[in-house]
Amino acid sequence: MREMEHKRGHVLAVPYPTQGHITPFRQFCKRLHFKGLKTTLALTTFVFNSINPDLSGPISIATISDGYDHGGFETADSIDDYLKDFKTSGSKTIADIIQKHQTSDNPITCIVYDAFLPWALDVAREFGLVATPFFTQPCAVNYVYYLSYINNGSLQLPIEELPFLELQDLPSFFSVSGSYPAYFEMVLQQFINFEKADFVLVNSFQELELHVRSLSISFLQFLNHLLFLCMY
Amino acid sequence: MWSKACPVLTIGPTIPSIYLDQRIKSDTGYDLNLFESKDDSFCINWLDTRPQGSVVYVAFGSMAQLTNVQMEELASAVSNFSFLWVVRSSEEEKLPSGFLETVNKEKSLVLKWSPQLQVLSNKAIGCFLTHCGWNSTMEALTFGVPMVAMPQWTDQPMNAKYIQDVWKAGVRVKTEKESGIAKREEIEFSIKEVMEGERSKEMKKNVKKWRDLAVKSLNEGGSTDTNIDTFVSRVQSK
Repeated sequence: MREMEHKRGHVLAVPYPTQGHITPFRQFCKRLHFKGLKTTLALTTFVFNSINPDLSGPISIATISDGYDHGGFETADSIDDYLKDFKTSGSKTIADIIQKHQTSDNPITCIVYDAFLPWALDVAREFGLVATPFFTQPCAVNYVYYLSYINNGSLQLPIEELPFLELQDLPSFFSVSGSYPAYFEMVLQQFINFEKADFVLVNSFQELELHVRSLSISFLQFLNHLLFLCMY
Repeated sequence: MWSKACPVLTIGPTIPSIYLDQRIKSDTGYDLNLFESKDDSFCINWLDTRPQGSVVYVAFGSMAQLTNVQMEELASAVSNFSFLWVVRSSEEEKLPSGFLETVNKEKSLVLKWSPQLQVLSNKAIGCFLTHCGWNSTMEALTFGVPMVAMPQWTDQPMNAKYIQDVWKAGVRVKTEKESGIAKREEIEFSIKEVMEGERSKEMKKNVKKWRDLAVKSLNEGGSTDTNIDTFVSRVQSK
């Protein structure tokens, strides 16, 4: 009987609201459901209304606001405005969902949030939940952004651990200097608080990333994580 | 010391189970789509009539915007092959005028959106000319389809580098230094490299290897499966 009373665990998954991010989050929810967790996928009201999803499946869907419920990203004045408004409206509406579930049989116990939305960690902590960013890009890309983050947005070549990377191989923010500054800022901001998270989830598989085995041990925390990953 | 740090858990590839480990019977496809795909069965029926490994699949994901010049170079290059090209509605006006009318409907097809998983898993596909978005890249790697890489922005150039030189699963099309444009000759050359060139066999062998490793990682006790278990226990113990 004791087993039956055991809480199942409930993950709230919050992707950045584009197709390329919603898809891997949705798929990850299916894996978690297969392993016995309850999952709720948070979509912005605008995306929800655009997709009109089938609500009968095993993965619940909840709506949050990015501040642009009627027109989505296209109606924001700038990328910068969009990201700021998403933080304000998103934090509030995610908190609302958590509160709504608190008295239910399956209260939310964890937020898996898009690494593009690092402010969700604060929401998770406010409610004492497990907090895990989900990176929709591979480890090596994340590592390059991380190096740039700790270097105030610049990056020096060659990168010791990835010496084969030339300028044309780097993310476009480096090779096309000054391009999409708000998005560049967003990919750097992925690292403002990730070390406070419980896990870092990456949409990749270990065998694809084994080249990082050669990375040096003396590097900072993120690198240790990468090494940790490879030592499994 | 490392155990104290928050560990990185790889939990992918997030491709429907039916195509890889087949452990989740209900996971038969992506089911939240922002783009309508009306011609799915038409597209797959058409592919079924094409010879094995003969079709170049061309798609640039849901976001990338090509310039008119790049569109023209691409149109000219792919016309030398049998192709299936996804041109989103918002990109269509950039096609050279009259191009759609000149497409040989026996040999080639242009669609506004495609059921990409079904396309990539169809035997008729010979290579994937891709913008190297991470989802597309992993789909190709785990479906065993070699790639012709035409990265556009953000992380895509780095994915292209890995496709060519780390995973050895394709080639990156050379671009002009000043304009960043991939010229028709270079695109055509790269497609031939992947479809029939000397390194073609090697690339095809490599993508098969990545597919096998992806399945292994998702199967019970594989790296991804173990990582997901680690994550689930933590969430359940909260």
